[in-house]
Amino acid sequence: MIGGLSEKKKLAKKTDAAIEAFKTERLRWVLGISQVGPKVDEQKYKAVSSKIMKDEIDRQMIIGEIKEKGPRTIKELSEATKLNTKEVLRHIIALRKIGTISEAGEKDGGYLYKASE
Amino acid sequence: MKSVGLVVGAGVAGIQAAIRLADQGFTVYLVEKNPSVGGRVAQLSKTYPELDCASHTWTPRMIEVSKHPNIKLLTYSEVKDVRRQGDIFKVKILKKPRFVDENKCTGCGVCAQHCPVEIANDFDERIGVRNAIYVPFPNAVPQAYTIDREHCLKCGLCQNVCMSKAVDFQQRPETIEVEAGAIIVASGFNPFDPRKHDEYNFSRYDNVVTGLTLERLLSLSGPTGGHVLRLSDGKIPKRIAFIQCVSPGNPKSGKIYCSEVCCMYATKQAELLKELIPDADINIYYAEPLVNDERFEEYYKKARTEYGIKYSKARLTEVVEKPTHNLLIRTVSESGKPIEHEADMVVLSTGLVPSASDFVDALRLKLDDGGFFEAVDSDSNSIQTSTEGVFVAGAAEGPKDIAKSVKQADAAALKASAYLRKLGEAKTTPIRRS
Repeated sequence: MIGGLSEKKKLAKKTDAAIEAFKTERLRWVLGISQVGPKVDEQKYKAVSSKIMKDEIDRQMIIGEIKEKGPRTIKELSEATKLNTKEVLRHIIALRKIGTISEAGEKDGGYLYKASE
Repeated sequence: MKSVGLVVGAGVAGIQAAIRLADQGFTVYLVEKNPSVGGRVAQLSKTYPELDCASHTWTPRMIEVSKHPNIKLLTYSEVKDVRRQGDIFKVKILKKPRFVDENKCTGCGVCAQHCPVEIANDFDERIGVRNAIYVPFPNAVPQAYTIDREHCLKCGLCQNVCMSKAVDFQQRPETIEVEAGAIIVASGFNPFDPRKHDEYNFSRYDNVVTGLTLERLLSLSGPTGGHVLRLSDGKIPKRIAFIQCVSPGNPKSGKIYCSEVCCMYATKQAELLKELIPDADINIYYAEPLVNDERFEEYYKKARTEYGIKYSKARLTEVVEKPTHNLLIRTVSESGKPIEHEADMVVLSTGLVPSASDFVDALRLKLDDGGFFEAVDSDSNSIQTSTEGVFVAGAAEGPKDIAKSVKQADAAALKASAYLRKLGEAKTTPIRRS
């Protein structure tokens, strides 16, 4: 039962992340694009849209985790999100570039990341 | 046209040569293939031996070439053909379409904030990311965005949000023809690609990085904001091993030519790492003698005594990754004893190789054994190429550091101006400088 509960909790987290992801401009664009029309390169669009969708949901899971628990290391974020550390790092680099997160000291041999004010 | 110079490449040597020549009143076309001037120095964190911030030193010079009244800067442009007609070179330059009007773009970056495409940024050695509409780095000159059409989806979002109406999908490549009396080739170098001889498993292991990748990690404006971490798991590396002389074999003699800068840049990086991670254990493995330059003797000494950096003369046999992503470095000592050493990160001190140029054949320039432009001066300078009126400066002539490149660029500008004057009738308007 405990396992079931934690599975439910994980699913809820993922759903929350997905809801947040769909609020982002990037994802709204991905969803709206088919109606924007003829200018878009359809083939390229198909190739990147699913990647954008997955990336945005994963990033919202990372942001959600940091917002809920405070500054987190890449290792901790990897454990919480089930994404591998290399993937978490890729998202961290993209999120820090747009100013969503920033470093907040060190813990257990890794940098901590916090949500920017 | 006899008072016009053409400088190919806007890295440190090209920037320096262009300013020197333009200051003497000559009109200078400065041609750069990338969207921004700056060349390799723009990728560096700090420069040796003074640990000056590369950006602080060079950004003002980069801006100067874009504002100088005698310099006509052509970025994102390539020299495609050069023909000699009497004393004059007729040069064809291809201006690649940015799909953004350079004159209208204010560099505000709103377009990139809206671009949904995200790809690895080559400028960051592919650790960082950029959008399909981008400037390669924050201090780029000119501050004009470029659309990478290979990755652009043509969604038009950037066009919609641009207040200056600078986005122009209709731009086409443009061929510009200029005439010049003298040419200075400053086309620079590329770092050697270690995948070419993948003996250290660079392409397989995330924690085996090149010197330039470490440079991007150390850079405060880099993808990690100057936080050095392992690319496999984000851990802060505590045991770092540098492997020297990761260089191409000389195609003729089979010997490796010395790239002259790697011993010093590795030492500089080791010092910067030590400042960042005070308890780091840093080993620099070398097989060939360290570059013996009197300018730097004190520098090595300081690295050893003050920073505790270890230099180990050893022949490397292999680098193997453990399941922890740590790396085992297997070497053979001078006495023939096999030694194994574990590190968290391995940095390959890659050498310098020539940057490929389309116009080599057109100019009939001789290359040396390493593929760099050969200088044929009768004096101690190394700036006169095998073609009259064509001079060379910086790493295009052979591996060298920033200080040497700048010195050579000064000399090349001096020779080019003397040559242009000799061509005669050079009506010049010297610039007064405060």
